[in-house]
Amino acid sequence: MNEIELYVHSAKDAEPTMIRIGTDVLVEDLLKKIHEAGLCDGPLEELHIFAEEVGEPLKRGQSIELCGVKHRHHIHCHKCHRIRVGVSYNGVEKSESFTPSAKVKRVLKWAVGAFDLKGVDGENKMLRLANPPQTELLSDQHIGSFVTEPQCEIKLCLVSRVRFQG
Amino acid sequence: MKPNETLILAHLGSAPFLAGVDSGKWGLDGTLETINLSLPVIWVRGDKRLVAEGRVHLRFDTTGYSQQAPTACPWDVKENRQLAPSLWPKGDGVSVVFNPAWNAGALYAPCDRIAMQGHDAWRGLCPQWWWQPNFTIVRYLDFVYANLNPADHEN
Repeated sequence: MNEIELYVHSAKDAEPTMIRIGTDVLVEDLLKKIHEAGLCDGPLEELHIFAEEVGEPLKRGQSIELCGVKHRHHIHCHKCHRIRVGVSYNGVEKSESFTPSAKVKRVLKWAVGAFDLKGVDGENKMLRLANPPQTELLSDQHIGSFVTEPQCEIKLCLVSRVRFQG
Repeated sequence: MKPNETLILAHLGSAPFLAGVDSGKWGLDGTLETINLSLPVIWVRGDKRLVAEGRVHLRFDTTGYSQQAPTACPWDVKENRQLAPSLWPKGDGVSVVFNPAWNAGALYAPCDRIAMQGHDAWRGLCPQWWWQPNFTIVRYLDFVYANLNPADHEN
């Protein structure tokens, strides 16, 4: 049996964890392995596995190979099917829904466009949590990593990058 | 192997570091078997408007890691010495972090051991970046990458 390594993202940590698994296993088995390893919380039957940037969860009865999951791909385990993201900028809020496996950079690109920030105005912007600890979200992190149940939504602020001065 | 070397070896093989390697954000200059774990050199990809070469090599000093923050400076891998100041990344914002006039041996960053000295205010301003003993070198690399790629979301 061929084995591959996968980067697993979830709401338990903003950074990925790596697991090894056979290419012929079912998505169901992958989910069980992730759950048993304590990488994703919640009742097993309520969890979904998403390929990175893909809106629909992988079908449990299919092999991961058939789903197109390959060595060192990123996947996301989450209870929410979609995440409602609200972004505030200059006192105005706009919202959009994303797959939990959407990269922060995609959400940031949407937000910059939604607030019509063009050229240099759109650069050096970042998203941070609206509530404490107001963590800065990094470009390759998954939006679902910042969303814990029971909510399937998150509030963010679009801000300029902090400049470190003496 | 010293404790700092044992830890840095583990962190250079961790999923967050490898994910950055796989996506082309950074990489080791050498292999885990050949590098000096107390002074590893790691390159970080950067916007070509800020870094003409498209990447900058950093030589880290991991003394005391990870109880203490690492420190790093741009490195000329061909000459095996600090990079000439004229070749440091330049541009709006990034020149604050890469500032040889302040110190040619460190980055002006809240996760850099040398820069942290005398900058306690950064602890409250940016707790995410103010070095803690449970951080790994990936935190430092994430900081550098974010500063060198202000338009990363456009790619």
